[in-house]
Amino acid sequence: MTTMSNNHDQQYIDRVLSGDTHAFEVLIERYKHMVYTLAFKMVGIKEDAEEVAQDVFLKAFTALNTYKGEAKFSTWLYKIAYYRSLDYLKKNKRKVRTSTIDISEEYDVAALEGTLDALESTERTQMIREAMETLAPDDSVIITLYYFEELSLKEIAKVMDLTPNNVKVRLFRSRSRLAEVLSNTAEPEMIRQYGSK
Amino acid sequence: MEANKDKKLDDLIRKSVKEIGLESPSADFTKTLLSKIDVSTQIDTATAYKPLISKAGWVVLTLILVALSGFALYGNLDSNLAWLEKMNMGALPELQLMDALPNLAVSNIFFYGFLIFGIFAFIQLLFFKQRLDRQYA
Repeated sequence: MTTMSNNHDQQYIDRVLSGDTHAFEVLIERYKHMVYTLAFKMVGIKEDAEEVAQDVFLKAFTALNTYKGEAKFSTWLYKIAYYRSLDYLKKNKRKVRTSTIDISEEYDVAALEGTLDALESTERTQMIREAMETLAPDDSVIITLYYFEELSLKEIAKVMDLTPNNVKVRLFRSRSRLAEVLSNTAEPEMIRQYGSK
Repeated sequence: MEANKDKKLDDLIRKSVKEIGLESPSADFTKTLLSKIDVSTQIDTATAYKPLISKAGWVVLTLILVALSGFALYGNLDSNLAWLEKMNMGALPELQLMDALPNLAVSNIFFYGFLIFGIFAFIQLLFFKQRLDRQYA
């Protein structure tokens, strides 16, 4: 699926490079959600994320002739998104939040799954969202790129200029943290829900 | 056992992340962006470097120059310039144009002041140019 969409991307990239500006619209539509999500995870404010995301596409448009097709277009774009977000934080003298919660691995995956399944879907998504927010922004980016976008460790490493091993370590740590935060919030929530019925 | 737990956790997180999906930018995200791109491409074409005299222009100019020099050197020009004599150019020195100019008396202080002002204006020009270059770099 990814190689196919990459071929499709190339076709539009070629059209943009030969002067058809509006072929870029297809690429915007295809990637705007992911780029915006990455920016939002990094800068944390909707309006600012929107500005950063616009900036990412503008930058990609003007630098499109430097894209050599060695990596997937999406990976190239996400790298711009990650670095533009970092630039934005630097320009506004804000630091990337770091998370300091200790991980204790004290959770039961099967029980957690059962509890989450028992919750209503809106409540469950809300809870997962909140748990994601407790992660450091770049850890949240790693999780999204790996689980949602299904990039490989190597590709994520390229986007964020890390080593694949570093990405793996952070992925495992973030995953456990998510499970722990979810266990801590989901069970009391379920008890509250059932208690009120 | 440990590997099994790991796989379960992996599946659970994947399911959860897929369930919450991605954030959505504003509805007019693409429209705003495309108008920005249109503006930037217009600026690009507006400020694109275009030589004042095109290559074809230079070729024509060179040909004209060569033709004229050739004509001047080897051309069989009949130098009957009756129209020049009619203009009575010979009378030009008699007019004594330089003497006809008014004599402007200027004090030394004014003269030096004006000179220094000119020098500083020129220096300022250099700074302005640098500043503009930085602004539009």
